[in-house]
Amino acid sequence: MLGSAKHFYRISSVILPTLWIGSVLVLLLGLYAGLVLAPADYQQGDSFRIMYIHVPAAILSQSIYVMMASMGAVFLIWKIKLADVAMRTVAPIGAALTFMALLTGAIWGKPTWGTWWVWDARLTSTLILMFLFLGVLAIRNAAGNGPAAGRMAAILSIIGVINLPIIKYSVDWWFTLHQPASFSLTEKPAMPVEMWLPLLIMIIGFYGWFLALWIQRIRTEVLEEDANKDWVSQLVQQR
Amino acid sequence: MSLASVSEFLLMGGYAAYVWSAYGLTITLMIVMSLLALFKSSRTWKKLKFTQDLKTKKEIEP
Repeated sequence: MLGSAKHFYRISSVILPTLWIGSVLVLLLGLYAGLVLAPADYQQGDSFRIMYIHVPAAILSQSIYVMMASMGAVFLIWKIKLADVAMRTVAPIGAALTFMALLTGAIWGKPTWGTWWVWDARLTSTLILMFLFLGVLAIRNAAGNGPAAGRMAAILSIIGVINLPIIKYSVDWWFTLHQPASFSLTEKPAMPVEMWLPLLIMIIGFYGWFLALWIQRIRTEVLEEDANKDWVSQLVQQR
Repeated sequence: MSLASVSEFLLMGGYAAYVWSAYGLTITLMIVMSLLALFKSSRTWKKLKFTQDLKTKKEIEP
């Protein structure tokens, strides 16, 4: 069902406006909570507030990678064209969010560690994540949007999944300046509620915004691909 | 909010340069990405509408 472009288009029409507006509102709330309501950290002062954009960007970039590789697997196994479209529209978003995580991390690192960058495992594996996204993009730019390019991009993204556990456990396996995870699904956060709640709100806001952006891009791509099909001409006539 | 508390907020406990550059760059990037996607969508719609109008004209005229 969702594999059909027409159905995807129809279903996403219902949720997309809500997703755009809702995520912007959640992000605004998160910004207010993180910048104004949360108290300054007793060690890092106000610089810790960079966490409220750095952590969501980092979490999202890794989870976008998982989604991209899953779409790649779906495309390889079932040859569903929509999965290919989803894969190629998400790669630039993933690259941008990884860049955002690296950039905000560097800006946070300067006052906290005294350096913009260290070649440690966490930072290096995140840099590799960005190169994987850029690699998938490069394949598209070189080989176009055909099924062969789709298969190549899918295989590269699936191989790159190896990098994800390395990012996750890098802070435990190797000595690093990077602090360990501030959040876990199984334990109570060590931070007080007025510090972790803004983070949770920002993570939800980032996810909503990402989904809205992704769906928006898929819809445009689907319209262009199916431009000559009946369902698209019907849509155009209705507008 | 008093003027003093606003300026205190803007100073970010001495970390203003770091906090505001990080937030500024992130928010700018998010806005640019959103606008690009929305512009592309409206451009595609215009293109589709144009070709559709061209087609209907051809069907009527000859």
